[in-house]
Formats: sequence, C-alpha cells, structure tokens
Amino acid sequence: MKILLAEDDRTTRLIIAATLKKLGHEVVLAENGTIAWELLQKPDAPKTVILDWMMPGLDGHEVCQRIRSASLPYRYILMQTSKDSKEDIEAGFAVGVDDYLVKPLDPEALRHKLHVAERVLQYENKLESYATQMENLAKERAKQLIHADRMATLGMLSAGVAHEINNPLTFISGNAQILDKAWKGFSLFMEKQSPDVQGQFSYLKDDIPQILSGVQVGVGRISKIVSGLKRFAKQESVHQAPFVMSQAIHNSLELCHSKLRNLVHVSESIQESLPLAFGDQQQIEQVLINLIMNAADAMHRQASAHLHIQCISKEKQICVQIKDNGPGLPPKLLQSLVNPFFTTKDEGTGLGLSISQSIIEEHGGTLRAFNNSDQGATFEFQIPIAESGIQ
Amino acid sequence: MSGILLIVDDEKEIREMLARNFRMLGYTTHLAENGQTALAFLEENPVDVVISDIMMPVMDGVSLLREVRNQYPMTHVIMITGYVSLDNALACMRLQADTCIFKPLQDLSELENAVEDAIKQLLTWKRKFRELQGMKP
Repeated sequence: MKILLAEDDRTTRLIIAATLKKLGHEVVLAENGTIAWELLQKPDAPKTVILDWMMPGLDGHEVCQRIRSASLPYRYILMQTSKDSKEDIEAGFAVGVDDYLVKPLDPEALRHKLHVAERVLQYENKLESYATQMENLAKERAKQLIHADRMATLGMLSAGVAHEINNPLTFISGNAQILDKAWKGFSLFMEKQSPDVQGQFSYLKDDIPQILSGVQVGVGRISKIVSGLKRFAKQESVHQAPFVMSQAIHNSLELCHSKLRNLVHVSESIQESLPLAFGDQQQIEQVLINLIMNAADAMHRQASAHLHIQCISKEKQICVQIKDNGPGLPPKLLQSLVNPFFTTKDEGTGLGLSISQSIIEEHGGTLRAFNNSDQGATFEFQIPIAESGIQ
Repeated sequence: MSGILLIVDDEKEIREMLARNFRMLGYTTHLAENGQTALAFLEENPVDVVISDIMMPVMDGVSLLREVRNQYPMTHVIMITGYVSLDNALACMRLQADTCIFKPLQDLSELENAVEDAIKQLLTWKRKFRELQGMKP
C-alpha cells in the first residue's frame, strides 16, 4: 500500500518510514502539512495518509479538514499525536480523522491500524466501481430510451407521410398511364400521316414512351417505400399463436424461389422434434424473407452462392440462423445495419432490417448479425417457444 | 364502353385524373368532392357506377356506400382507398361494394375492369327487365 507520511521531525519521520517499509508499504514523505496537502492533490496520491498533529505551516487538523472538504477521492486518515486528551481526539474525529496513532509509535498497533485502513479502502474501491457500473448502466438505458422514443416518433411520422404521399402518387401514376394511352392513340394517327409530317415527329416516337415508363418506374419505387413505411409504422395487428417454425421457413423459401432459383444453393438443418414457436407466423415469415433476400443480394453474381438455414431450440427459445458465404459485413456497418433508411442497395428502402428487428423485438426476441469465421455473414434471431406441444 | 360514372374523391387532382381516363374510354363522368355532394347529385341524376374514396371530410366513402345501397340498389359502387386497413376492406365487403382497390392505382386497368364488369352486369339486368316487360302476363 502507498502511504503518505507527513511529519516535521526528521528523526520520527525516518523511524516511522523505516517501520512502514518493513511492513511492506511504499512511503511518500512530506516534511510539513503544506507539502502534504500539495502531494495529496496529485492524481496518483496515496490513499492512506498519516498526519502529525503539530506541524509548521498547515497542521494535521487543517490538512484533514481540507481533504474532507475538497472534492478529492476518499483517503483513510490516521492522525498521530502525543496529545491524547479527550477534547483533541473529539476535535480530530469532527474534521474527519479515521483513527489515531499515539506517540511513541507501537509498530504492532500501526500494523493493525493499517490493516483496517486497507480493508476500508478496499470497500471504498468496490463501492466506487459499483457506482461507476451503475452510472454506465443508467447512461446506456437512457440512450436506449431516447432511441426507442425516436423510433416511436419516426413510426408515427412514417404513417402520416405514407398517407400523404399516396394521394399525389395516385394522380402522378394515373396521369402517366392516361398519357401513355393517349400517346398510343396519337401514334396510330401519326402513322396515317404523310412521311414528311411523320419525320417531323420521329424524335418523339422513341422518347415519349421512355419518359412515361421512367415516370412509372419512379412511381413503383415510391410506392414500395410507402408500403415499407406503413409496415414500419406497424399498422398491422399482431396475431400471436403457436406455429411450426419449419413451416414458416419453407413458406419463406417458397416465396423467395424466383430470386434464389438456380443461383443460390440452399441447405437447411432443422432440429428434429422441434417445439412449436410462439408468435405471428406471417410476421416471422416476413422477417425470414427479408433475411433470405438480403443474403441472396449479398451473394449476387457469386459463382458458388450458398445459403444455409439452421433452426434449433435452446433455453425455451427457437433460434434461427441464416448463413451466407457472401463477402460478409464490414465491421463499420454492423452498428448501422438496423437503422431505418440505412441501405447499401441501389433500390433498397433501408427499412427491411429495421422492420425485421422491431418484429423480433415485439416477439420478445433478439436479432443480431455477425461475420462467419470462414466466409460470409450470419443473421440470427430467437423467439420464444410455445408453452406446450412439439411439432 | 359507355355508362354514367360518378367519381367521388376529396383530392381534386385524383378525381380529374380518373374522369379524364374514363372519358377517354367513352364513359360519361361526373365529379363530387365528398359523400354529401355525391348523394345530392344522385338525387337529381341517374348514375351507373359510383367510384368513391374512403377517407373524405364531411361524409366518408363508407357512409356514402351505405346510403347508395339503401337508396339506389341498381347503382354499383367501387371503393378506392389509400388508407389500406382490414377494417376498411371489411366495411366495404359487408356493405356490398363491388370491390375495393388500393391507391396509388399503379395499374388503372384493375379499376377499369371493375367498372366494365359493373356496367356489363347492369346491362344484363336491364335486358332481363326489357324481356319481362315484353312478355304477356
């Protein structure tokens, strides 16, 4: 233990220091109270302090008072004194002395008292780290709450925006379709005109249909975003019931068939006699489809694309893993993956994983992503098993 | 095709767009901006098919549908909505709307087919009635 010894008498200081060193302690010396006070304000100052009562400059009483009133970390203070009158001892305790050492110093008593100091400081340390831990926990929780609040606001905003966009989208799309029809009629009329007149309009003949289909492609994309936003705003009610997870997996694979086709090799390992899962099968299928499509996108144009789906039960939960052998996830992206509107795809809405996560969380489960040790990435989620029954 | 349509939507651009589309296809079109003005129009004029939005101020599409079913049993009603919810769809079905089509109407032909079917059904009934009138008791 590191101990600060403040003692003005040189001989006494050396004797005590020698005793302390013999007991295995490291000693920092101060010839008077002023120096002791300066040393104590340094960040690596000793936690145990032995002060002499009578010193030039600041006396022990004064140093003790300063230690307790300043916002310094806790120090165990031992006051040595030849005065053992009751009033002085009481005055010392009043300003924060922890214990007394009576002169002349008894090495055995010193040893015991330092043990006490050590014990008290250990408790103090534990308490401090516990407090820091709690503080961090509180900070983390506050962050989560702010995030959840933001998500809720975004959800409400999304629903509103989705509905607002739908109307203008309807008349943009409708008018473009009408124009398309009108143009076809006009083209037929133009074909009956003289080559001369036709020639003057030839540049429109190719461009107009392209312009109109451009508008429609845009409408299609916005409409996709709008329906994503609506799902994000969780309009759909949840119907939770026991269901067969392997069925959900097969349904999802079926729906992704056109995307996977011959391009991705799919394998699965589903645990035998798997318990029923509890949740909204449709929503879980939505999550599975999203994860399967993401994996397929990640392995786009890859020569040997392989998707592996694993499903096991573990601690009253059903755990589903969707593993690909694509390029994996850049570590930087792992954090922002589930943020709404975050996307790496050219035509993505950035809502897929965000919706998936909120679905899984609503089921009391977790969704996480990690890179495989060899190649590619794995997305994993758990949802609870139903109270009774085996599929 | 020919027939008389009443298009009800609080959004001016949408009802004009729909009117333009159906006029081009040969229908006669009339416009109303909510359920109430639609009912006022129906009192004075014959209408074959009502195409109505659901969410509208003053009087919404579901109430209009209910009134049309009560007062004008021959008139067909097709609902279009941007507010897609199960409740809305169920209400449309229970009140016997022909169908319910979701905005943004990315393919107008769904609505066009629904109108065409409604007109065909009406024509069939009208023919039956004419035949009945021609028969001797």
